[in-house]
Amino acid sequence: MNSIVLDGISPKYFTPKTIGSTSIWNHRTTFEKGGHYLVIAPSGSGKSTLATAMLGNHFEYDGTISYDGVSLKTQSVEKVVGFRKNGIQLLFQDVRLIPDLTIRENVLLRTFAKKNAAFEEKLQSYATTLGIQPLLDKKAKNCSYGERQRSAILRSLINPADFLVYDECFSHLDLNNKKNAYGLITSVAAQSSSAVIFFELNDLPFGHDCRKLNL
Amino acid sequence: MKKFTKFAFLYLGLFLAFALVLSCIQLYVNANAMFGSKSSDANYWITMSKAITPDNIGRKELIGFNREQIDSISKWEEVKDVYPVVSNDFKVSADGGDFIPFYTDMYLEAVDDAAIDIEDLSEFKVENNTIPIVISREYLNLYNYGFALNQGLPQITEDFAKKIEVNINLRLKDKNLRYKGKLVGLSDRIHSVLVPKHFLDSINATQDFSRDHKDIFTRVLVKVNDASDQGLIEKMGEKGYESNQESLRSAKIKSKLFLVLNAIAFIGAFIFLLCLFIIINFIKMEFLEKHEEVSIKYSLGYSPRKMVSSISRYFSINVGIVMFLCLIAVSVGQYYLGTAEITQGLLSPYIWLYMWALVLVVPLIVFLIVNLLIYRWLIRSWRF
Repeated sequence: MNSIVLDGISPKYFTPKTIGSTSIWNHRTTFEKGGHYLVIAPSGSGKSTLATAMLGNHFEYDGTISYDGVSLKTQSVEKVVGFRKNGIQLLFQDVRLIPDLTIRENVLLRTFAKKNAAFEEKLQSYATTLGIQPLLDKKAKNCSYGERQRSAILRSLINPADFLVYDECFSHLDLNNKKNAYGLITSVAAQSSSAVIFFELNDLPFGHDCRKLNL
Repeated sequence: MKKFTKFAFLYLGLFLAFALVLSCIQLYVNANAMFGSKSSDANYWITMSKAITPDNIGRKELIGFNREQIDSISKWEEVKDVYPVVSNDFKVSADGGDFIPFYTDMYLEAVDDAAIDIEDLSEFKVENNTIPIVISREYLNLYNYGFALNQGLPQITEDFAKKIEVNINLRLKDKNLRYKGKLVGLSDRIHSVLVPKHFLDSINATQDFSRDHKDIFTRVLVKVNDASDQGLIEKMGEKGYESNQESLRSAKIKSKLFLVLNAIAFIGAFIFLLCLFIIINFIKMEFLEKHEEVSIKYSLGYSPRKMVSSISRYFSINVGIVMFLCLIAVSVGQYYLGTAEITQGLLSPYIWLYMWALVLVVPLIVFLIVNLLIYRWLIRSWRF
């Protein structure tokens, strides 16, 4: 997948606070493969609504979101889900790990049961970078929110899609962990030529090369 | 209720349902083996007559079959051939002449040669003033075991009977004729005194004192695939035709047995549907209990169709295992039934071969139904 285009979209059932000053709602925005984007918006402006709409989780908006020119609204559920394997993935604000599975099992869900030595190598390496290597065999429900957030970042990178969308993925991390996670995300994205789209409340508290957009 | 208990009840219910349905199928096959089954190659003969009622007593035109009725019978799908029985329209008597001192009034009947169960009919034609006769084996038995024993007369073998000649006297409207009568065979099929049809037709044609009786046949011989066919019995009942064949009696038993089997099979099918309903709800509950996991997998790119297929496959395999166990149980039952003395070797010790196909067919049906219904439910009502 090479591009995601948001064309004149606005939420159906609520009016975002920033609707007057935004560069995305009711505008045309294109996300290109390989690009780095930072969408900044205060609470209540529809970050999660937009992120989940981009994933195809709901169609509660006017306008169109299209993958490579194909409108999501015209696709079947199976087609939309199919895009998630290699086209787009989202790290939800609430991280979404399965509580009764270990971190390792949660991460490997993204490999779709493919046994591959490369995945194990990546798993160990990324876990070490993120500082969660000792937690791999711990159940998700026994981890702190910050640990789960880092685990979810690891899951998003084990088998990266063309577009990696992160909804406030650093919210429970300290500055050092934020920097580490950001560095890992951008380096993995560079290896796989993926685009990265961060949805954040504020600008990142360290230097970055993302194109900023206001929602 | 614990998950294990729920599973236990579900599979117990399925086992019961399958056991009922499979037993009914096997008992149906057994009943056909014992009472005779439909086969296009099989030939059974029944002698059909009309029930005697106060309205038709003594009236040959009412008590017999006319051409129209015979044509109608021949069109019944269960009927292969119809052979009307012609009877004499004149007085007949027999006497033993000087050799055996007896005299009796009698009757003659005739039917197409094709309907007579005598292999060699080469002698069955009127020659040299001799009428060949075929009588029912029962008549000879009646004489040997009934009449002869009580009257102090000698028993007669079939070969000896064929050597006896009696006088047959025909009293026609304008003359009397005297023939020699000679037995040429005994019939197990037709309880009558048969003479060649061509001969009886030619004599009847010379008579005109009973024109009402022209083309009226008192009885008809009917060749059918299955003398115990329920459709045939019903049609005979509707028309007021009857037959004293043993097969008709067994047909009545068979029809009642099948009625009971149908009722049991219906209950079995109902329990099966109930189990299917439970399976569907069970899977729905599984999905609802694992709502979070399913939603996460969905957002990660797992296809809902594949998730549903995977759980449906799991249940279908279990249904297949239950079906297999049930078939084993029915096979054991059938083996004991088939080898039991009471069945006298009429039943196979093995179950009907095609039932094994159900091990594949039923799980496949369960898979398709459950898969379709659960997927539709998931897509329509699920909030991911």
